[in-house]
Amino acid sequence: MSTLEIEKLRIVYGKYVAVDGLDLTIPHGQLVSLLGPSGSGKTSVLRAIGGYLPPTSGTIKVNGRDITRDPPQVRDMGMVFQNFLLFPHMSVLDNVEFGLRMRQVSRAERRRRAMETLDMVRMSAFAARLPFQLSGGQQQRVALARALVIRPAILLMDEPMGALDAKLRAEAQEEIRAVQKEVGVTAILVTHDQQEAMAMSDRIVVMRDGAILEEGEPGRLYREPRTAFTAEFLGTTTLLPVEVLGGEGGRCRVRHSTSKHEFLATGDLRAGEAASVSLRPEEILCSHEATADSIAGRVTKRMFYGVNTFLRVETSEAGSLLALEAPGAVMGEGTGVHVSWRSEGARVLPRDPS
Amino acid sequence: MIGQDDKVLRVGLLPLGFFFCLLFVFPLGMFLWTSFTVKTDTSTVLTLQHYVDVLTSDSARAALVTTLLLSVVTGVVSLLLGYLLAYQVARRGPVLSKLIFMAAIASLFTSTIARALGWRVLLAYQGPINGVLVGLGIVSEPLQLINNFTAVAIGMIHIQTPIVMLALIPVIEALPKDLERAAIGLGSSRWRAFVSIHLPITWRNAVPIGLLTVMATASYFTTPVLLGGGRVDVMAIQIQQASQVLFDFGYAAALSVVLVAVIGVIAFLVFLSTNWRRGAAARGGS
Amino acid sequence: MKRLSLAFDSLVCGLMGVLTAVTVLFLVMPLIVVVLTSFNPTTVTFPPRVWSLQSYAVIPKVAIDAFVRSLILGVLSAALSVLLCVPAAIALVKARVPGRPFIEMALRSPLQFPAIILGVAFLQYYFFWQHKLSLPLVGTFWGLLIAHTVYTFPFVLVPIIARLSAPGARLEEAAAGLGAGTLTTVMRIVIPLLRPGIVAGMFTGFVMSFEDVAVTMFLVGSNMTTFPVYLLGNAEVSNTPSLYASASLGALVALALVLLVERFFGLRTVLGKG
Repeated sequence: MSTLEIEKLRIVYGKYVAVDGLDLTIPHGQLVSLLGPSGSGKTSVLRAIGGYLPPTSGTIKVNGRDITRDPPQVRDMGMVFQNFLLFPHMSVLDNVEFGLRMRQVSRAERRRRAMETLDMVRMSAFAARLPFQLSGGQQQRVALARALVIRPAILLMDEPMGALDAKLRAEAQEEIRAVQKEVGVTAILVTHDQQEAMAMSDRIVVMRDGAILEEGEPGRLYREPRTAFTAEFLGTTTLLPVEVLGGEGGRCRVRHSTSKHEFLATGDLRAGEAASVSLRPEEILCSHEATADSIAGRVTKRMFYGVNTFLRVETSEAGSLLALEAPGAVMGEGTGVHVSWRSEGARVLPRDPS
Repeated sequence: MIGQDDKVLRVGLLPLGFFFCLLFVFPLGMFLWTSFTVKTDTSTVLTLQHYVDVLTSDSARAALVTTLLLSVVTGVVSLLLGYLLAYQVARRGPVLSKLIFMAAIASLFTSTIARALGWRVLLAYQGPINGVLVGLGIVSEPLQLINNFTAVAIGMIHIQTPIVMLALIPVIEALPKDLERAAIGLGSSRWRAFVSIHLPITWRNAVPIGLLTVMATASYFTTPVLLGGGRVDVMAIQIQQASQVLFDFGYAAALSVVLVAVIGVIAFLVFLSTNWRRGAAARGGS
Repeated sequence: MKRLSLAFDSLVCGLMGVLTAVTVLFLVMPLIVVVLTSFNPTTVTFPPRVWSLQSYAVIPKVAIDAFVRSLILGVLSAALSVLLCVPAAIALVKARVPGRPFIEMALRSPLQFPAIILGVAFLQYYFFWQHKLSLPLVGTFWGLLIAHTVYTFPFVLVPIIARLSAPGARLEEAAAGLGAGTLTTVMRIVIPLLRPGIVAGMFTGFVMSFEDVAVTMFLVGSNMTTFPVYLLGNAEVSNTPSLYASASLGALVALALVLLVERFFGLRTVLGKG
């Protein structure tokens, strides 16, 4: 049960600023994801926490103790690497026992704890095998066991699903989350996969260009993002460029920058601000009949993904929209539709300067 | 190593470093020094006399010429033969490929002396090769194939060809087999596929290897001694005689420096040829 | 494709096939000849008129001694080289050493020097120390061992460095995270995985030592000689079947070694450039 506090973490390579004055607190027992595109600095932060990357300045504290200058050996953290880094010349059991061996745990005790942990990840039958004899998913479970058996204060995971194929990834996500909850260890997961972050985390920290953009609980970040980047990065959305005309009480009147079409959106921006309105596909209603505030459009593309079908709808008032086809209401390409949305489903956000 | 203490690791360099300095740098340094000095009864005097002796000596100059000639001939022929063998090993089926490979390896790992003895028998005036030549009527009299330059050249080619083959196999394997098949599928003949696709890509790697062979051949001692019958004087033999027969270390040292200098020039050519190749690749390959 | 060029193409490919066969024959013939010649009882003729194994029986004790000595020298110098080269290679590849490229180039430089020059330089060097320390070096086993180790270590160093430099997982990080210090990581992770490089190095080192004449011939003594030097001396002055018998035996050992390595490690990996 450990808390992690990072204060003003700065990591600079020559002229390149990888992490720019980052502050982060992770309470005990939570699984927190550092989510962001490559170059966002998330891996640098993780490596700094693990002791593999000495920060240029700032402090890292575990349970109040400053560990910033400690080498990895003494940090009491378990790390799962992207390519697992299992020792190829050692059996699964030897791999898992390695950390315990380093801690001078007695042979019998080592064996017991290692087998226990392997049981937890359902790999005890493979104890005598060598890493090359295991599949990717199996190797990952061994890597997890190896990190957990030492009962670390914090579990660090660097894109652990990166080497797995899509189907395996979903299973692995569930398993890792289940084990983390069972053990109750504080965990930090670095990933660029927003689905993964949303599925597994108690909290998500969205990072960009070496800084934290937003953080919060996955549901909140998805439904009520505070930046256009977050809206786009988590899930799918259409961003409409608008000007804010005015508003109060959480509602804004906005005007589309090109078409000048006006509508209501949710958010707290002031008049005159350049903004973006985020419209998630599931918020857009397409129907064959017009309604009071619907706008006319045409389906130009229909994309079938099994569970969902997406429609690309071209409108004159709102540009190109991505909408979710309602189940049972098939709308083929070329169909003329009437598009509308609730003001609650249109979130107005500060426009991203980039 | 990330996460570890580099200072501890660096210590590992000390034993070898010490060994290297004490037992390689010093001996060679001392030897080099000898080439520039003459010991009199009372003192040691700096001089270029040894180098003058080397450069004015007919036998030394002849030895240098012989060495270079031998090296170049060996380099060229073993490069061609080695390339041929490497190509077969890289392209033919598993059985044939392994056969050729093992034959070359067997040859390589037989000692230089054993191989030279074998050639002594084969190339003898009344030996089997002459027997075949005379028997088939190709020549009327046996050829003088032993105790001359020809014999030494044959011996050196025999030594270097497997080495060249080993070096070229990875070069040729780096080219996917299908490249030539694609050309043939488009209507090219096998020969043209080789010449226009295979050769241009690989010859740039082959040249440095050929030059390295030239360098290596210039250093050889055993084969010229056994197959030359005393008549083929290469630099290595000159150096040996200067030290073991004449006990003139100064002269031997000067000879050595000249040999190393010549090898160094070829090494420089190797450097140029590899960088020119890399430069060409950087500029988009031509 | 025109019929003429088809025919020409077949002709060329056929010629290349013939040339390959001839070359393979060229490579293999001398070995066969040496072995066959050794079956002469008293005089060297080829092909032998009388076949007998007598020449093997009269191999002088000197030859056997020299052979055993070469074996021991080869193993010991290869082993010593490994002991010296492994820590050095780890230092060069895994630790940040200032001037690493130059140090590496310097350590590889003995490969560029003709062995004969090393031999003479060593002779002179040994005389120097013999004089200074009243310590016999020329004609002693230790003298030979030291010289052989100097000669072989670059052959051992190269494959070890190559193996360490091969791009691969940075397992040291995982080891560190699990609590392993520098030495533990080296002993438990780096060195075990270095095995193919060490094997390749020892193999090459042994072969180079076993075969060497140019360096050794200056440093042998009356009762202290190596197999190739003995053979050379013998071959220069005489031409008896037992000479060929000795040479064949030597070749046999080398081939046995090659087959062993192929069986247990795979020759291609050991001979490969890394």
